[in-house]
Amino acid sequence: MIPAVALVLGVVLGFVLQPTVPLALQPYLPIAVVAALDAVFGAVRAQLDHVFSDKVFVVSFVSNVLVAALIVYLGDQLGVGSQLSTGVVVVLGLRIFSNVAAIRRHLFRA
Amino acid sequence: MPQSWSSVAKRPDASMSLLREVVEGADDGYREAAAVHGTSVRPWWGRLIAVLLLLGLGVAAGQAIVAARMAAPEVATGEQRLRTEVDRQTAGTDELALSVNRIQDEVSALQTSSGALGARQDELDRLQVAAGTGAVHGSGILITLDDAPPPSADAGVGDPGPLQADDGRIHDRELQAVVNRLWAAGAEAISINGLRLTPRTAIREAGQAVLVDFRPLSPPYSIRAVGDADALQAELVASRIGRSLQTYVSLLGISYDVSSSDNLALPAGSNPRLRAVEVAGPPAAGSTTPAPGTENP
Repeated sequence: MIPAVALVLGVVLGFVLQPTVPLALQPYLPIAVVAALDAVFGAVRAQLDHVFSDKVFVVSFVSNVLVAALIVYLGDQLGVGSQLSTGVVVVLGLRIFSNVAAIRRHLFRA
Repeated sequence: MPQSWSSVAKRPDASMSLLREVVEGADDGYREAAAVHGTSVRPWWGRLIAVLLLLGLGVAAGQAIVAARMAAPEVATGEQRLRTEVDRQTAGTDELALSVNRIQDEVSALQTSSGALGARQDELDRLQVAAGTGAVHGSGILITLDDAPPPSADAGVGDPGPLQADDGRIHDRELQAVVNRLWAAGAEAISINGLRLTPRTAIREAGQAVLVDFRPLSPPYSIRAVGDADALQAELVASRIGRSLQTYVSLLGISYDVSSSDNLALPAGSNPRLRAVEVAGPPAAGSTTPAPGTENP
């Protein structure tokens, strides 16, 4: 319950406070958000499977964000930024969809 | 094979890991961690860090959404500004082209009236007609070509309509073939939708528009050709492109019409760059002896 409240509170704070993100990081923010969402959905599914572990959640969250931002940054340097960004979004979307499907199976059958 | 690989239990579908991940969902290591540590261990700091990360994620998501919303109208106004600028510059260029033509006409009139060219005036007139730099007035033929109307929404299922949406369009190929046939039949000057064709004018197609002299034209296309009206018409009707266009009228629904006219006025085409100028001698002299002139690159 508390984690969900923290997430919603964070979104509200983001709308209200509108913190200024350093200009260099601005392009990577959306993809980092999607990568973090993937970690969150994985955590929710693990919670429903009763195998949740804080350590794994924190590690997967941080590594997802870093790897996604790194891949997009590398793509920008190589000149294939939009293609690599599309690839990252596709993969993250796949993982999010399959985790949500597992969550759905839990919620509507158990 | 390294020792560590054989210690992991091999699943029969180990090579399909991507498909497996798509179908069953990725497991970030929760199961392995639970198998090793058990799920009862929950350090207090783990919970705190997780909550802080989620808070940070929320703030980042909110900020990203706000930033995306704020950027949208700026993109639209930027586009609008560019479009206005393009329109303004195009209008300016058109005005300049008109004034160039007007001044060119004045120059030609002065040349003719001063008689400085003498016998070469006729040659100049003939060259101006051929090069497209002089306006032409005379009799000739007028050809009108228009795209087929788009397939109507209430076309019946059994209607043999065009296979693709743009089959009934007039392409640059058709215009090129008609114009080439007219030149071969002895046309002296040709214009399409008021654009005079010079020896350097290209008829091309880019995307959905036909470009004549790099200017996009939209149908219907009126091709005016000054010359012997009967000869032009006869040759066009008998030619391959004439017969093809006639077939397309019934097959695809384009409109194609050829008529002769006694009163065609073709404007001058875009002027070539001035390369050399010679000052003619004083008109009083019997034969003009041009003084060494200035080169104007």
